[in-house]
Amino acid sequence: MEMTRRELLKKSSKFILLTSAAAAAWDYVLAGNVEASPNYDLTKHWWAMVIDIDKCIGCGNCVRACEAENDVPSGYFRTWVERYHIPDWTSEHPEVDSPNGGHDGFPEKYKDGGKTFFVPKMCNHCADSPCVQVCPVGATFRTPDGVVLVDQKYCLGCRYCIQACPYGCRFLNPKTNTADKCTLCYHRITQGLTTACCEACPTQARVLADLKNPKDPIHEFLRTHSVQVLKPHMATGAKVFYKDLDGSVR
Amino acid sequence: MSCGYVRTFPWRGIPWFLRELRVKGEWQGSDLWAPELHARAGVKDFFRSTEHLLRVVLLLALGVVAFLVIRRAVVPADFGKYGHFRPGALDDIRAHPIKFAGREACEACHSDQAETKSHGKHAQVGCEACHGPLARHAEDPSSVVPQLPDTAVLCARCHEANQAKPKTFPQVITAEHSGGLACNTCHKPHNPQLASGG
Repeated sequence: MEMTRRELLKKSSKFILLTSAAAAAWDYVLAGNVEASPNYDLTKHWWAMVIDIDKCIGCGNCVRACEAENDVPSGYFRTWVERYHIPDWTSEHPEVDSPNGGHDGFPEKYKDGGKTFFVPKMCNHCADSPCVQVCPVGATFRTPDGVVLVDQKYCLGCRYCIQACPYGCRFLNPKTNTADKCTLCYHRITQGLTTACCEACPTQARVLADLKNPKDPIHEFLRTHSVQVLKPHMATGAKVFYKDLDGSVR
Repeated sequence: MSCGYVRTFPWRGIPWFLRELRVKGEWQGSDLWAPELHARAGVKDFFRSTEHLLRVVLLLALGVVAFLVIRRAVVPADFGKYGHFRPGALDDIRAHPIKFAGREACEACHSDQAETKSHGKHAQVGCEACHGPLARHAEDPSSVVPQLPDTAVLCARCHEANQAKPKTFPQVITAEHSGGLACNTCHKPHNPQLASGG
């Protein structure tokens, strides 16, 4: 198997050229398929959400809107609001409650000072989501525009993803017996509308953002504010950005 | 090749086609990897009968064909177009009907209300934040007529005092504030600032 340098270079350059030509041809073949909606390009978006803790008033509009928009069964939540109460004497153990997910608002409970605030929660649409990794049948997937979705026809209802989600954002839908979660109102955002929760939020505490759109105000927002994600140590690539998140929030 | 195995069981550790040569008496040596030895081993030394081989090849080919046929039947043709998932799932999810029409749709007809609202404190509040999901009304305004929300419940959802709400957000204890009067007796929801400065 003697091979001169010339032969090696010839062969390898041929190989590279031919494989790239084949890949380009394959891309061309794929591009030939007409999309269901011609105006929406999956590759031109990278969806995220900005949540401003300082604006959330805990009215529960987002929870009710999500329920109405997505037919979420009662008692289950694709988005919910938590109330954090950090007493003056300890910052290590905040009290957290979420009566009916914040669906019916929050009756006054704390009168003793300390720090109290609302934290809306939802699917973080992680770029490296644990739920996608554990699905044994590939029913949970990440779309090229950065939304984590569930294929209801492939899902077996094995609940692995529900256990894997570090944010507790998934549940087993009792009607379909498949995993259910926030779709980031995929049926709305692909038509140019915002999500139901953002539409219903009276204070703009939630704002849908497109990280691939250079004109989106999120870029300015991320530059000029202190912004965190939940559980950054888990390296999930979470895309729900919280402004001025208290360190005690899990 | 001086392990005990070779001495006690002479055939162990020897390639089977070389064993054939040994049986025929054509080779007595112990150097199994001599190149001339391998060169001497012809096709007939390799295979006593080609029938077995054909059977294996046929079985393999049948298996491959069966795999391809089943895959074609089970896996959608466009699977993997955007990633490791069924592209049809995107269409399934997008087929879900819209319930909230969106502010632009409301303001297309109700421009007078939008104008009033734009001057008040509620300028940033979406229409359906208070009026509820009304996409069906937007599609068919004459037959689907929305009901006006009850201000006593509606306003309190946001403006009832609560320690957890941001300090800058206007809050009242409704029982003390209005004494049971409906909010819209004094405040007009689209522009809640009191006209007479009271």
